[in-house]
Amino acid sequence: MKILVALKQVPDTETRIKVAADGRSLDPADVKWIISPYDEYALEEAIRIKEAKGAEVIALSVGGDSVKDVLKNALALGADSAVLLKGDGQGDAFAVAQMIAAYAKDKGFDLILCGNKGIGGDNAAVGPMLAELLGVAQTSVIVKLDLGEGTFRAEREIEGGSEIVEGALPAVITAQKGLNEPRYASLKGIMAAKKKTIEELEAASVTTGAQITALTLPPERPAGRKLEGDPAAQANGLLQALKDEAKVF
Amino acid sequence: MILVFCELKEGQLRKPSAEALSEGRRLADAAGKKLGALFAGASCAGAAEAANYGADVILTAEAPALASYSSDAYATVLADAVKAKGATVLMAAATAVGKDVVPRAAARLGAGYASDVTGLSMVDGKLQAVRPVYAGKAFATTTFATPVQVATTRPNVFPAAEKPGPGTVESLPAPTGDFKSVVKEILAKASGKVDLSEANVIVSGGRGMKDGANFKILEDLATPSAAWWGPPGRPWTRAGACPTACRWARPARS
Repeated sequence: MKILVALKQVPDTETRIKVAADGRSLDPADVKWIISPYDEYALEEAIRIKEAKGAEVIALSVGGDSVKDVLKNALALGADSAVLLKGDGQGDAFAVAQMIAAYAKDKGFDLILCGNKGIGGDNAAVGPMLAELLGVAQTSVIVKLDLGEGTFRAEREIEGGSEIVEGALPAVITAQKGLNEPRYASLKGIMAAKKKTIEELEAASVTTGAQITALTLPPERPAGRKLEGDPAAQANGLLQALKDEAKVF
Repeated sequence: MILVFCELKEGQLRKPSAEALSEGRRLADAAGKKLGALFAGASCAGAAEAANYGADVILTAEAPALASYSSDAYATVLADAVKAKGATVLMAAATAVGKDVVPRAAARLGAGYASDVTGLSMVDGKLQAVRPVYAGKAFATTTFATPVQVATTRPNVFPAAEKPGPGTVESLPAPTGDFKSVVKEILAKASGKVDLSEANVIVSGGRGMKDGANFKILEDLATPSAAWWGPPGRPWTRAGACPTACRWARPARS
Protein backbone atom coordinates (compact mmCIF):
# COMPACT_ATOMS: atom_id res chain seq x y z
CA MET A 1 0.00 0.00 0.00
CA LYS A 2 1.26 3.45 -0.90
CA ILE A 3 0.14 6.42 1.20
CA LEU A 4 0.68 10.11 0.50
CA VAL A 5 0.32 12.52 3.42
CA ALA A 6 -0.06 16.17 2.45
CA LEU A 7 1.16 18.52 5.16
CA LYS A 8 0.78 22.28 5.47
CA GLN A 9 2.97 24.64 7.39
CA VAL A 10 0.88 27.30 9.14
CA PRO A 11 1.45 30.19 11.57
CA ASP A 12 1.35 29.11 15.21
CA THR A 13 -2.09 29.83 16.67
CA GLU A 14 -0.41 32.09 19.24
CA THR A 15 0.86 34.33 16.46
CA ARG A 16 -0.10 37.97 16.75
CA ILE A 17 -1.56 38.68 13.34
CA LYS A 18 -0.07 41.66 11.53
CA VAL A 19 -0.92 42.67 7.99
CA ALA A 20 2.01 43.00 5.59
CA ALA A 21 2.74 46.19 3.65
CA ASP A 22 0.89 44.85 0.59
CA GLY A 23 -2.33 44.95 2.62
CA ARG A 24 -3.36 41.45 1.63
CA SER A 25 -1.01 38.99 3.28
CA LEU A 26 0.32 38.09 6.69
CA ASP A 27 3.42 39.97 7.82
CA PRO A 28 5.88 37.08 8.17
CA ALA A 29 8.03 38.88 10.75
CA ASP A 30 7.89 37.17 14.17
CA VAL A 31 5.69 34.37 12.85
CA LYS A 32 6.50 30.97 14.29
CA TRP A 33 5.61 28.25 11.78
CA ILE A 34 4.17 24.92 12.80
CA ILE A 35 2.62 21.91 11.10
CA SER A 36 -1.15 22.33 10.91
CA PRO A 37 -2.50 20.28 13.86
CA TYR A 38 -5.05 18.37 11.76
CA ASP A 39 -2.23 17.26 9.46
CA GLU A 40 -0.54 15.66 12.46
CA TYR A 41 -3.52 13.32 12.83
CA ALA A 42 -3.27 12.48 9.13
CA LEU A 43 0.44 11.68 9.42
CA GLU A 44 -0.04 9.64 12.59
CA GLU A 45 -2.80 7.61 10.91
CA ALA A 46 -0.53 6.87 7.96
CA ILE A 47 2.25 5.69 10.25
CA ARG A 48 -0.17 3.49 12.21
CA ILE A 49 -1.38 1.89 8.97
CA LYS A 50 2.25 1.29 8.02
CA GLU A 51 2.93 -0.35 11.38
CA ALA A 52 -0.24 -2.46 11.33
CA LYS A 53 -0.23 -3.76 7.79
CA GLY A 54 2.81 -2.37 6.04
CA ALA A 55 2.79 0.64 3.76
CA GLU A 56 5.09 3.10 2.09
CA VAL A 57 4.44 6.56 3.52
CA ILE A 58 5.41 9.63 1.53
CA ALA A 59 5.12 13.05 3.14
CA LEU A 60 4.55 16.06 0.90
CA SER A 61 4.34 19.76 1.42
CA VAL A 62 4.08 22.80 -0.83
CA GLY A 63 6.15 25.87 -0.05
CA GLY A 64 9.67 27.21 0.16
CA ASP A 65 12.74 26.06 2.07
CA SER A 66 11.10 26.72 5.43
CA VAL A 67 8.62 23.85 5.02
CA LYS A 68 11.53 21.41 5.06
CA ASP A 69 11.17 21.50 8.85
CA VAL A 70 7.72 19.97 8.54
CA LEU A 71 9.03 17.28 6.20
CA LYS A 72 12.08 16.52 8.38
CA ASN A 73 9.74 16.04 11.30
CA ALA A 74 7.56 13.72 9.21
CA LEU A 75 10.62 11.65 8.32
CA ALA A 76 11.61 11.49 11.99
CA LEU A 77 8.13 10.28 12.88
CA GLY A 78 8.25 7.44 10.38
CA ALA A 79 7.57 8.66 6.84
CA ASP A 80 9.70 6.74 4.34
CA SER A 81 10.40 9.67 2.07
CA ALA A 82 9.50 13.31 1.66
CA VAL A 83 8.74 15.58 -1.27
CA LEU A 84 8.85 19.36 -1.32
CA LEU A 85 6.86 20.96 -4.10
CA LYS A 86 8.35 24.41 -4.54
CA GLY A 87 5.47 26.82 -4.93
CA ASP A 88 3.04 28.96 -3.00
CA GLY A 89 1.53 26.67 -0.39
CA GLN A 90 -0.15 29.45 1.55
CA GLY A 91 -2.38 30.85 -1.15
CA ASP A 92 -5.38 29.62 -3.09
CA ALA A 93 -6.63 26.14 -2.17
CA PHE A 94 -7.52 25.31 -5.78
CA ALA A 95 -3.98 26.13 -6.89
CA VAL A 96 -2.46 23.98 -4.13
CA ALA A 97 -4.81 21.08 -4.95
CA GLN A 98 -3.71 21.24 -8.60
CA MET A 99 -0.03 21.18 -7.59
CA ILE A 100 -0.51 18.11 -5.41
CA ALA A 101 -2.71 16.40 -8.02
CA ALA A 102 -0.08 17.00 -10.72
CA TYR A 103 2.49 15.30 -8.50
CA ALA A 104 0.27 12.43 -7.27
CA LYS A 105 -1.36 11.33 -10.51
CA ASP A 106 0.22 8.22 -12.06
CA LYS A 107 2.14 7.47 -8.84
CA GLY A 108 -0.26 4.76 -7.72
CA PHE A 109 -1.21 6.07 -4.30
CA ASP A 110 -3.86 3.94 -2.61
CA LEU A 111 -4.60 6.51 0.04
CA ILE A 112 -4.01 10.24 0.40
CA LEU A 113 -4.40 11.66 3.88
CA CYS A 114 -4.45 15.30 4.92
CA GLY A 115 -5.88 17.45 7.69
CA ASN A 116 -9.52 18.46 7.28
CA LYS A 117 -8.25 22.03 7.06
CA GLY A 118 -5.08 24.03 7.42
CA ILE A 119 -5.60 26.20 10.46
CA GLY A 120 -5.34 29.91 9.77
CA GLY A 121 -6.59 29.83 6.19
CA ASP A 122 -9.36 27.43 7.27
CA ASN A 123 -10.38 26.72 3.68
CA ALA A 124 -11.05 23.00 4.25
CA ALA A 125 -10.90 22.69 0.48
CA VAL A 126 -7.68 21.02 -0.65
CA GLY A 127 -8.78 17.46 0.28
CA PRO A 128 -12.09 17.40 -1.64
CA MET A 129 -10.56 19.32 -4.56
CA LEU A 130 -7.64 16.89 -4.74
CA ALA A 131 -10.04 13.93 -4.74
CA GLU A 132 -11.93 15.46 -7.63
CA LEU A 133 -8.81 16.32 -9.63
CA LEU A 134 -7.55 12.75 -9.22
CA GLY A 135 -11.01 11.30 -9.88
CA VAL A 136 -11.03 9.26 -6.66
CA ALA A 137 -13.30 8.78 -3.65
CA GLN A 138 -13.24 11.15 -0.70
CA THR A 139 -14.48 11.62 2.77
CA SER A 140 -13.69 14.44 5.16
CA VAL A 141 -13.47 15.31 8.85
CA ILE A 142 -13.04 11.71 9.98
CA VAL A 143 -12.49 10.44 13.52
CA LYS A 144 -12.06 6.74 12.70
CA LEU A 145 -10.66 4.86 9.72
CA ASP A 146 -10.70 1.16 8.83
CA LEU A 147 -9.19 -0.16 5.62
CA GLY A 148 -10.36 -3.30 3.84
CA GLU A 149 -9.21 -4.88 0.59
CA GLY A 150 -9.42 -1.90 -1.74
CA THR A 151 -12.07 -0.27 0.43
CA PHE A 152 -12.34 2.10 3.37
CA ARG A 153 -14.85 2.62 6.13
CA ALA A 154 -14.63 5.89 8.02
CA GLU A 155 -16.54 7.66 10.74
CA ARG A 156 -17.09 11.26 9.79
CA GLU A 157 -18.15 14.08 12.10
CA ILE A 158 -21.41 15.82 11.18
CA GLU A 159 -23.71 18.25 12.99
CA GLY A 160 -24.69 16.72 16.31
CA GLY A 161 -23.23 13.28 15.62
CA SER A 162 -21.32 11.23 13.12
CA GLU A 163 -21.90 9.03 10.10
CA ILE A 164 -20.23 6.00 8.58
CA VAL A 165 -18.92 6.46 5.06
CA GLU A 166 -17.80 3.54 2.91
CA GLY A 167 -15.96 3.80 -0.34
CA ALA A 168 -13.38 2.44 -2.70
CA LEU A 169 -9.65 3.05 -2.64
CA PRO A 170 -7.87 5.04 -3.87
CA ALA A 171 -9.34 7.83 -1.79
CA VAL A 172 -8.52 11.21 -0.31
CA ILE A 173 -9.44 11.28 3.37
CA THR A 174 -9.18 14.30 5.68
CA ALA A 175 -8.52 13.94 9.39
CA GLN A 176 -10.29 15.48 12.35
CA LYS A 177 -9.17 15.78 15.96
CA GLY A 178 -9.95 12.54 17.75
CA LEU A 179 -8.73 10.26 14.95
CA ASN A 180 -5.70 9.30 17.02
CA GLU A 181 -3.14 10.66 19.44
CA PRO A 182 -0.07 11.81 17.48
CA ARG A 183 3.27 10.60 18.78
CA TYR A 184 6.47 12.55 19.34
CA ALA A 185 9.56 11.81 17.30
CA SER A 186 12.00 9.43 18.98
CA LEU A 187 15.70 10.19 19.14
CA LYS A 188 16.28 7.16 16.91
CA GLY A 189 13.76 8.53 14.43
CA ILE A 190 15.37 11.97 14.44
CA MET A 191 18.80 10.46 13.81
CA ALA A 192 17.47 8.22 11.03
CA ALA A 193 15.73 11.21 9.41
CA LYS A 194 19.06 13.01 9.07
CA LYS A 195 20.18 10.35 6.62
CA LYS A 196 17.09 10.74 4.44
CA THR A 197 16.89 13.41 1.78
CA ILE A 198 13.95 15.55 0.81
CA GLU A 199 13.15 15.38 -2.87
CA GLU A 200 12.67 18.89 -4.20
CA LEU A 201 10.51 19.47 -7.25
CA GLU A 202 9.17 22.58 -8.91
CA ALA A 203 5.40 22.69 -8.41
CA ALA A 204 3.39 22.39 -11.62
CA SER A 205 2.07 25.62 -13.06
CA VAL A 206 -1.56 26.00 -12.13
CA THR A 207 -4.53 28.27 -12.56
CA THR A 208 -5.67 30.47 -9.69
CA GLY A 209 -9.19 30.04 -8.41
CA ALA A 210 -9.60 32.77 -5.82
CA GLN A 211 -7.27 35.33 -4.35
CA ILE A 212 -7.15 37.47 -1.25
CA THR A 213 -7.26 41.13 -2.21
CA ALA A 214 -7.29 42.59 1.30
CA LEU A 215 -6.50 41.35 4.77
CA THR A 216 -7.94 43.45 7.56
CA LEU A 217 -7.97 43.25 11.32
CA PRO A 218 -11.22 43.34 13.25
CA PRO A 219 -12.13 46.65 14.89
CA GLU A 220 -10.69 47.20 18.37
CA ARG A 221 -12.93 45.93 21.10
CA PRO A 222 -14.59 48.90 22.83
CA ALA A 223 -13.59 49.59 26.42
CA GLY A 224 -15.64 47.98 29.18
CA ARG A 225 -18.18 49.91 31.18
CA LYS A 226 -18.63 49.86 34.93
CA LEU A 227 -22.13 50.00 36.29
CA GLU A 228 -22.42 52.29 39.33
CA GLY A 229 -24.82 52.40 42.27
CA ASP A 230 -26.14 49.89 44.78
CA PRO A 231 -26.64 46.26 43.69
CA ALA A 232 -30.27 46.85 42.74
CA ALA A 233 -29.37 49.83 40.53
CA GLN A 234 -26.51 47.87 38.95
CA ALA A 235 -28.81 44.94 38.21
CA ASN A 236 -31.30 47.31 36.70
CA GLY A 237 -28.61 48.97 34.60
CA LEU A 238 -27.36 45.60 33.38
CA LEU A 239 -30.88 44.52 32.48
CA GLN A 240 -31.47 47.72 30.53
CA ALA A 241 -28.17 47.35 28.70
CA LEU A 242 -28.89 43.73 27.77
CA LYS A 243 -32.37 44.64 26.64
CA ASP A 244 -31.83 47.92 24.81
CA GLU A 245 -28.22 47.81 23.66
CA ALA A 246 -27.25 44.15 23.30
CA LYS A 247 -30.85 43.18 22.49
CA VAL A 248 -30.42 39.67 23.87
CA PHE A 249 -34.03 39.51 25.04
CA MET B 1 -28.06 32.58 -12.55
CA ILE B 2 -27.07 32.34 -8.92
CA LEU B 3 -27.50 28.75 -7.83
CA VAL B 4 -27.85 27.77 -4.16
CA PHE B 5 -27.52 24.11 -3.18
CA CYS B 6 -30.05 23.49 -0.37
CA GLU B 7 -30.43 20.70 2.13
CA LEU B 8 -33.63 19.20 3.44
CA LYS B 9 -33.93 17.60 6.84
CA GLU B 10 -37.01 15.45 7.36
CA GLY B 11 -38.65 17.17 4.41
CA GLN B 12 -37.96 20.67 5.71
CA LEU B 13 -35.56 23.25 4.38
CA ARG B 14 -32.58 23.46 6.74
CA LYS B 15 -32.11 26.87 8.35
CA PRO B 16 -28.52 27.35 7.08
CA SER B 17 -29.84 26.68 3.57
CA ALA B 18 -32.62 29.26 4.03
CA GLU B 19 -29.94 31.74 5.07
CA ALA B 20 -27.83 30.96 2.00
CA LEU B 21 -30.90 31.32 -0.21
CA SER B 22 -31.78 34.69 1.32
CA GLU B 23 -28.27 35.91 0.69
CA GLY B 24 -28.46 34.49 -2.83
CA ARG B 25 -31.67 36.46 -3.41
CA ARG B 26 -30.00 39.66 -2.24
CA LEU B 27 -27.02 39.08 -4.57
CA ALA B 28 -29.28 38.14 -7.48
CA ASP B 29 -31.20 41.39 -7.04
CA ALA B 30 -27.95 43.36 -6.91
CA ALA B 31 -26.66 41.69 -10.08
CA GLY B 32 -29.98 41.47 -11.95
CA LYS B 33 -29.81 37.67 -12.08
CA LYS B 34 -32.19 34.81 -11.43
CA LEU B 35 -31.97 32.75 -8.25
CA GLY B 36 -32.09 28.96 -8.49
CA ALA B 37 -32.44 26.60 -5.53
CA LEU B 38 -30.96 23.15 -6.10
CA PHE B 39 -32.00 20.00 -4.22
CA ALA B 40 -30.78 16.41 -4.41
CA GLY B 41 -32.06 13.23 -2.82
CA ALA B 42 -34.30 10.22 -3.17
CA SER B 43 -37.19 12.62 -2.68
CA CYS B 44 -37.10 16.40 -2.80
CA ALA B 45 -40.53 16.83 -1.23
CA GLY B 46 -40.32 20.05 0.74
CA ALA B 47 -38.17 21.79 -1.86
CA ALA B 48 -41.08 24.14 -2.61
CA GLU B 49 -40.23 25.94 0.63
CA ALA B 50 -37.33 27.55 -1.25
CA ALA B 51 -39.87 29.80 -2.97
CA ASN B 52 -40.45 31.49 0.40
CA TYR B 53 -36.85 32.71 0.28
CA GLY B 54 -37.02 34.12 -3.21
CA ALA B 55 -36.14 31.22 -5.50
CA ASP B 56 -37.12 31.93 -9.12
CA VAL B 57 -36.62 28.29 -10.03
CA ILE B 58 -36.38 25.18 -7.89
CA LEU B 59 -34.23 22.47 -9.44
CA THR B 60 -34.57 18.92 -8.16
CA ALA B 61 -32.31 15.96 -8.87
CA GLU B 62 -34.17 12.92 -7.61
CA ALA B 63 -32.96 9.32 -7.75
CA PRO B 64 -33.27 6.42 -5.29
CA ALA B 65 -29.46 6.18 -5.24
CA LEU B 66 -29.24 9.70 -3.80
CA ALA B 67 -31.05 8.67 -0.60
CA SER B 68 -27.68 8.55 1.19
CA TYR B 69 -25.14 11.30 0.80
CA SER B 70 -22.27 10.60 -1.57
CA SER B 71 -19.52 13.19 -2.08
CA ASP B 72 -18.92 12.37 -5.74
CA ALA B 73 -22.58 11.85 -6.70
CA TYR B 74 -23.70 15.10 -5.09
CA ALA B 75 -20.73 16.92 -6.65
CA THR B 76 -21.99 15.67 -10.02
CA VAL B 77 -25.46 17.07 -9.29
CA LEU B 78 -24.01 20.47 -8.33
CA ALA B 79 -21.57 20.74 -11.23
CA ASP B 80 -24.09 19.51 -13.81
CA ALA B 81 -26.70 21.99 -12.59
CA VAL B 82 -24.23 24.87 -12.85
CA LYS B 83 -23.36 23.85 -16.41
CA ALA B 84 -26.98 23.21 -17.45
CA LYS B 85 -28.13 26.59 -16.17
CA GLY B 86 -25.02 28.55 -17.08
CA ALA B 87 -24.82 29.72 -13.47
CA THR B 88 -21.97 32.05 -12.60
CA VAL B 89 -22.30 31.76 -8.82
CA LEU B 90 -22.71 28.52 -6.84
CA MET B 91 -23.46 28.79 -3.15
CA ALA B 92 -24.34 26.49 -0.25
CA ALA B 93 -24.31 26.65 3.51
CA ALA B 94 -21.04 25.61 5.16
CA THR B 95 -22.56 22.54 6.80
CA ALA B 96 -20.96 19.09 7.09
CA VAL B 97 -22.35 18.25 3.65
CA GLY B 98 -21.71 21.68 2.15
CA LYS B 99 -18.07 21.76 3.20
CA ASP B 100 -17.55 18.25 1.80
CA VAL B 101 -19.28 18.53 -1.56
CA VAL B 102 -18.89 22.15 -2.63
CA PRO B 103 -15.08 22.25 -2.97
CA ARG B 104 -15.28 19.01 -4.98
CA ALA B 105 -17.88 20.54 -7.30
CA ALA B 106 -15.76 23.71 -7.57
CA ALA B 107 -12.74 21.68 -8.66
CA ARG B 108 -14.81 19.93 -11.31
CA LEU B 109 -15.94 23.32 -12.60
CA GLY B 110 -12.40 24.68 -12.47
CA ALA B 111 -13.80 27.38 -10.23
CA GLY B 112 -12.38 29.45 -7.40
CA TYR B 113 -13.86 28.70 -3.99
CA ALA B 114 -14.24 30.73 -0.80
CA SER B 115 -15.33 28.68 2.19
CA ASP B 116 -17.32 29.58 5.27
CA VAL B 117 -17.79 33.21 4.25
CA THR B 118 -19.40 35.81 6.51
CA GLY B 119 -19.95 38.49 3.88
CA LEU B 120 -20.79 38.50 0.18
CA SER B 121 -21.28 41.27 -2.32
CA MET B 122 -21.43 41.90 -6.04
CA VAL B 123 -18.75 44.28 -7.29
CA ASP B 124 -18.91 45.09 -11.02
CA GLY B 125 -20.89 41.91 -11.60
CA LYS B 126 -18.30 39.73 -9.86
CA LEU B 127 -18.69 38.02 -6.51
CA GLN B 128 -16.57 39.26 -3.62
CA ALA B 129 -16.39 37.38 -0.33
CA VAL B 130 -15.22 38.22 3.15
CA ARG B 131 -14.12 35.37 5.36
CA PRO B 132 -12.54 35.16 8.79
CA VAL B 133 -9.00 33.77 8.84
CA TYR B 134 -6.44 33.06 11.58
CA ALA B 135 -9.17 31.99 14.01
CA GLY B 136 -11.11 35.19 13.46
CA LYS B 137 -8.10 37.41 14.17
CA ALA B 138 -8.31 38.82 10.63
CA PHE B 139 -10.70 39.06 7.72
CA ALA B 140 -9.75 38.21 4.16
CA THR B 141 -11.52 39.88 1.26
CA THR B 142 -11.52 37.31 -1.50
CA THR B 143 -12.14 37.73 -5.22
CA PHE B 144 -12.40 35.11 -7.93
CA ALA B 145 -10.25 34.60 -11.00
CA THR B 146 -12.63 32.16 -12.67
CA PRO B 147 -15.89 32.57 -14.63
CA VAL B 148 -17.79 30.43 -12.10
CA GLN B 149 -17.52 31.60 -8.49
CA VAL B 150 -18.21 29.28 -5.59
CA ALA B 151 -18.76 30.03 -1.89
CA THR B 152 -20.14 28.41 1.25
CA THR B 153 -21.87 30.64 3.82
CA ARG B 154 -21.27 30.32 7.53
CA PRO B 155 -24.47 29.28 9.34
CA ASN B 156 -26.14 31.80 11.65
CA VAL B 157 -24.47 34.81 10.03
CA PHE B 158 -26.76 35.72 7.15
CA PRO B 159 -30.38 36.46 8.11
CA ALA B 160 -33.03 34.15 6.65
CA ALA B 161 -35.45 36.66 5.12
CA GLU B 162 -38.77 35.49 3.73
CA LYS B 163 -39.41 36.95 0.29
CA PRO B 164 -41.76 34.99 -1.93
CA GLY B 165 -40.49 34.07 -5.39
CA PRO B 166 -42.09 32.20 -8.29
CA GLY B 167 -40.35 28.91 -7.40
CA THR B 168 -41.01 27.16 -10.69
CA VAL B 169 -40.08 23.52 -10.17
CA GLU B 170 -37.89 21.82 -12.74
CA SER B 171 -36.41 18.36 -12.45
CA LEU B 172 -32.85 17.61 -13.51
CA PRO B 173 -31.26 14.32 -14.51
CA ALA B 174 -29.70 12.62 -11.47
CA PRO B 175 -26.78 10.20 -11.22
CA THR B 176 -28.10 6.71 -10.59
CA GLY B 177 -25.30 4.70 -9.05
CA ASP B 178 -21.71 3.41 -9.07
CA PHE B 179 -20.61 6.01 -6.57
CA LYS B 180 -17.10 6.14 -5.17
CA SER B 181 -18.20 6.68 -1.57
CA VAL B 182 -21.55 6.61 0.20
CA VAL B 183 -22.86 7.25 3.71
CA LYS B 184 -23.99 3.92 5.16
CA GLU B 185 -25.26 4.86 8.56
CA ILE B 186 -25.80 7.84 10.87
CA LEU B 187 -24.51 7.37 14.40
CA ALA B 188 -25.04 8.97 17.78
CA LYS B 189 -27.32 11.68 16.51
CA ALA B 190 -28.01 13.67 19.65
CA SER B 191 -31.78 13.46 19.91
CA GLY B 192 -34.04 16.31 20.91
CA LYS B 193 -31.28 18.80 20.35
CA VAL B 194 -31.33 21.54 17.79
CA ASP B 195 -28.25 21.52 15.58
CA LEU B 196 -25.67 23.88 16.91
CA SER B 197 -25.53 25.63 13.55
CA GLU B 198 -29.28 26.20 13.66
CA ALA B 199 -29.73 27.26 17.28
CA ASN B 200 -30.97 30.75 18.07
CA VAL B 201 -29.68 30.60 21.62
CA ILE B 202 -26.75 28.63 22.92
CA VAL B 203 -26.58 27.69 26.58
CA SER B 204 -23.20 26.54 27.74
CA GLY B 205 -21.15 25.98 30.84
CA GLY B 206 -17.47 25.77 31.64
CA ARG B 207 -15.40 24.66 34.59
CA GLY B 208 -17.83 26.43 36.89
CA MET B 209 -20.28 23.59 36.31
CA LYS B 210 -18.06 21.63 38.71
CA ASP B 211 -19.42 18.24 37.75
CA GLY B 212 -20.41 16.63 34.46
CA ALA B 213 -23.74 15.61 35.97
CA ASN B 214 -24.61 19.27 36.49
CA PHE B 215 -24.96 19.70 32.74
CA LYS B 216 -28.46 18.35 33.26
CA ILE B 217 -29.27 21.85 34.55
CA LEU B 218 -28.24 23.37 31.22
CA GLU B 219 -30.02 20.67 29.28
CA ASP B 220 -33.24 21.45 31.13
CA LEU B 221 -32.77 25.17 30.53
CA ALA B 222 -32.42 24.77 26.77
CA THR B 223 -35.78 24.54 25.05
CA PRO B 224 -35.87 21.83 22.42
CA SER B 225 -36.98 24.11 19.63
CA ALA B 226 -34.61 27.02 19.87
CA ALA B 227 -31.61 26.38 22.01
CA TRP B 228 -28.61 24.18 22.12
CA TRP B 229 -26.62 23.35 25.21
CA GLY B 230 -23.11 22.14 25.72
CA PRO B 231 -19.75 22.81 27.25
CA PRO B 232 -17.66 25.49 25.60
CA GLY B 233 -14.24 24.07 26.13
CA ARG B 234 -11.98 21.11 26.18
CA PRO B 235 -12.09 20.17 29.87
CA TRP B 236 -15.62 18.85 29.73
CA THR B 237 -15.32 17.08 26.42
CA ARG B 238 -12.16 15.43 27.74
CA ALA B 239 -14.06 14.44 30.85
CA GLY B 240 -16.66 12.78 28.64
CA ALA B 241 -19.51 15.08 29.64
CA CYS B 242 -20.20 15.72 25.99
CA PRO B 243 -18.79 14.47 22.67
CA THR B 244 -16.37 16.67 20.73
CA ALA B 245 -19.08 17.47 18.19
CA CYS B 246 -21.01 19.18 21.01
CA ARG B 247 -18.24 21.57 21.78
CA TRP B 248 -19.16 24.86 20.23
CA ALA B 249 -16.36 27.24 21.14
CA ARG B 250 -14.31 26.83 18.04
CA PRO B 251 -13.77 29.29 15.27
CA ALA B 252 -15.65 27.34 12.63
CA ARG B 253 -18.87 27.48 14.61
CA SER B 254 -19.48 30.93 15.91
